[in-house]
Amino acid sequence: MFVTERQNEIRKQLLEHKRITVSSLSKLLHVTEVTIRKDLEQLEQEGFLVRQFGGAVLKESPAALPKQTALQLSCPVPRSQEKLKISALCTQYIQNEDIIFLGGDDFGCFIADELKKSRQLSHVIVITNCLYITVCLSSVPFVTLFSLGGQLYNVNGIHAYYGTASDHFLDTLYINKAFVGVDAVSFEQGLMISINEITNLYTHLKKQSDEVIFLFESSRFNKRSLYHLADLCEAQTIITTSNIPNGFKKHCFDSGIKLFTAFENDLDQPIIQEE
Amino acid sequence: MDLKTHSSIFFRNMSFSFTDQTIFTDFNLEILPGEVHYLLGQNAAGKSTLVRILSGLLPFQNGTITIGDTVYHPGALIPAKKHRIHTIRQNVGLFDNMTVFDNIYVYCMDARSQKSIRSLAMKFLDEFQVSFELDTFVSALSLAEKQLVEMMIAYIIMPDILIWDDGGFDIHGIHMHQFNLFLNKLKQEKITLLYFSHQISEIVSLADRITIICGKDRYLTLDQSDLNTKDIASYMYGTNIRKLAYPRFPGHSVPCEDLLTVTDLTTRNHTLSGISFTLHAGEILGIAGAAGSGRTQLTQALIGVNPLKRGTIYSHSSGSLIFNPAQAANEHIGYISDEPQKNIFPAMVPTSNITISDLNAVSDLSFVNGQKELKIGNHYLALLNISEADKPLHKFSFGEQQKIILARLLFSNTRIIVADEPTKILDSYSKVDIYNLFNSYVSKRNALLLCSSDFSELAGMCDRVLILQDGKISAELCKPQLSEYAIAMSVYQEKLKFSETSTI
Repeated sequence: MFVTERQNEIRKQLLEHKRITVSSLSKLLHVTEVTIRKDLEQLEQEGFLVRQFGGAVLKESPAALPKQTALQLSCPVPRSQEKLKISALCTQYIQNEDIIFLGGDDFGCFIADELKKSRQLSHVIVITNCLYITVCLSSVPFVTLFSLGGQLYNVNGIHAYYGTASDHFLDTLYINKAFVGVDAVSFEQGLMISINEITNLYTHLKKQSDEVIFLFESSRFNKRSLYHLADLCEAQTIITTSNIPNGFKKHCFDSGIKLFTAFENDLDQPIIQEE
Repeated sequence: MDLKTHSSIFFRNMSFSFTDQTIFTDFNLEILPGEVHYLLGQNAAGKSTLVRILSGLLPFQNGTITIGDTVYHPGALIPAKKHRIHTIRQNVGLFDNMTVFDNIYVYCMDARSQKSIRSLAMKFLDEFQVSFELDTFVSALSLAEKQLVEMMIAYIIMPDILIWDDGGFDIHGIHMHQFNLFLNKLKQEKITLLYFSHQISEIVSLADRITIICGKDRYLTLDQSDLNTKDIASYMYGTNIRKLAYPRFPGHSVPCEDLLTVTDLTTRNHTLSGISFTLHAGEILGIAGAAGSGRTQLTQALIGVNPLKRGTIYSHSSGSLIFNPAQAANEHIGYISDEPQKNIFPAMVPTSNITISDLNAVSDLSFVNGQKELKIGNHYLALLNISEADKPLHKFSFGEQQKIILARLLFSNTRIIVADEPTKILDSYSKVDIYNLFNSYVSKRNALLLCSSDFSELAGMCDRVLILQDGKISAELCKPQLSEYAIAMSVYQEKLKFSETSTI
């Protein structure tokens, strides 16, 4: 069980019983008392509860319940430097008044994180099927948010809606930039993905979008994955990192695929530490 | 001379392909004896392949080429010589460390005696009013004069078929009257001239017929009387034969601050007059123009190399004017040329080549600190994905050299890069790298001035394009109207004045 999940459970218990002991929580959640104390400390800082000897009580006044706490999720995917670079580049690709789609994959979550910080945008419409992205962007003033419904799946730790209901809703929308992360790419097999639900979603996405932007780490080039998503010639735009092999760069340039690459280091002058 | 056979060249169903790329399929063309035939095609349309096939450097796979009545089997230089084919390949054929006469002698020695070569050469110098001597070293000559030497060699050889490949370089350095004289001479001797070029120049109007090559089996031959800019431009650029993908980020709609303002710029040598424009932060501004319109002159003026007669170049960052290269460097204006080998220190390793732009930053007192240099150098090499960096720079590819020059400019905090055909001699994968570097460069509120003769590059990468015409700005094209075709139309419409005869 992750920290967030555990803390949410503690919140739930507290809201139900108003008071709770450390030992009962420890038994309930199968973690040591030390861990529970840490969690309670954190929740106290948030203003959710007041710690007492041996346990905690819910802070009485309803005003003390900050609205955001209910709508807070930490990013469900581990941070990866390369994916972050690619996502930062994607965020630069988003313009004002764009209607974008962010999928329930690692890249989608990172793009949402980056988008939240953007200072250049004044209005963007975001369509997503991912629970984390919905929560993440719900408080961003310049984002108009549409969330697809349907059956909630937990795919590699990311909660997202898939299935006919979300497909139907998607069919009623118009999108100009759809960001789709893929798991593997090769010249022969094209773009591949390890989750079958996404292939289905993509067929609808393809119809509704002006431009589908495929994202992958350069290490995923010439690898294999379970399901075929699209042929390479279907792609219009690809964003990856600059250490992708030269053969791939040449292929993209000559066959009309816009290839954007994120760079390993920053363009700015490095800071030299004096020793 | 009077034994000349006046033979025509026939290409019949010729095909040619490299292992991974088909260049021609079923290429059919007849070149009439004694005509001046202009072969026009975009970069990578297959011009230079055709030149190499004709001059005997490449064998083709299928079909036949006949010259007169005999079948031509290229793939070796001997048959080319037998058919009296001579090729002028711009900037390739001359030995820099030899005199003009030695260069001529190398090419002509099997046909004539030294004495007759010398007398013919003297005759050429006289006829064409050339200012240099036969004993001058070629390295001391300007580009235009080198072209005259190449013409001189062709003049002395007097081949039946002359192939001229301008290799992507402008020939405007030669005075038009000299070129005219040369053409007349060719016509007199009934020599067939095949002129290959990637752009429309004045020479188009001197040609008898023009063939536009668009690669594979697409080509169009026009007579001089049928010519009009619209047809040429639409055939060359309108129908996208090869859709190339230029990775350019959509520009910010928010107006950005001015970085550089040029007002009424007029150079002392009168190649430019009354140029005014403003360069904003975060934009890529393109400069397009036909050969001789002053593109290169403009880039040189901006970095202070080309002395000004009138007008100002105002840098907004410090509020000062730029008159010379030192001031341009102080204002963080950097320059990239088309040939990276001109700008590097070939014997030095890449890291030293990068840090050379700001030695103060890597020095302790007045000594260069090798460790600092290495640290900074490696930072940029990692950025550019260059490995095995411990060999001298001349051993790297042009693409890598060009990237290292870019890194050098980044290291010295350059805010404005003036690039004169930066990707002209690069492979497509190096282009992708350079374009992506440009993208992230301008996204940091810097600006790029991109001069290019590749219209698709300008249309793909620029936010705005200025059209130069005889040293003046004749038009400005902005994003929605910006296309390869639009640029070609504005560049060539005025230039050739075809519009008078055609029905546009």
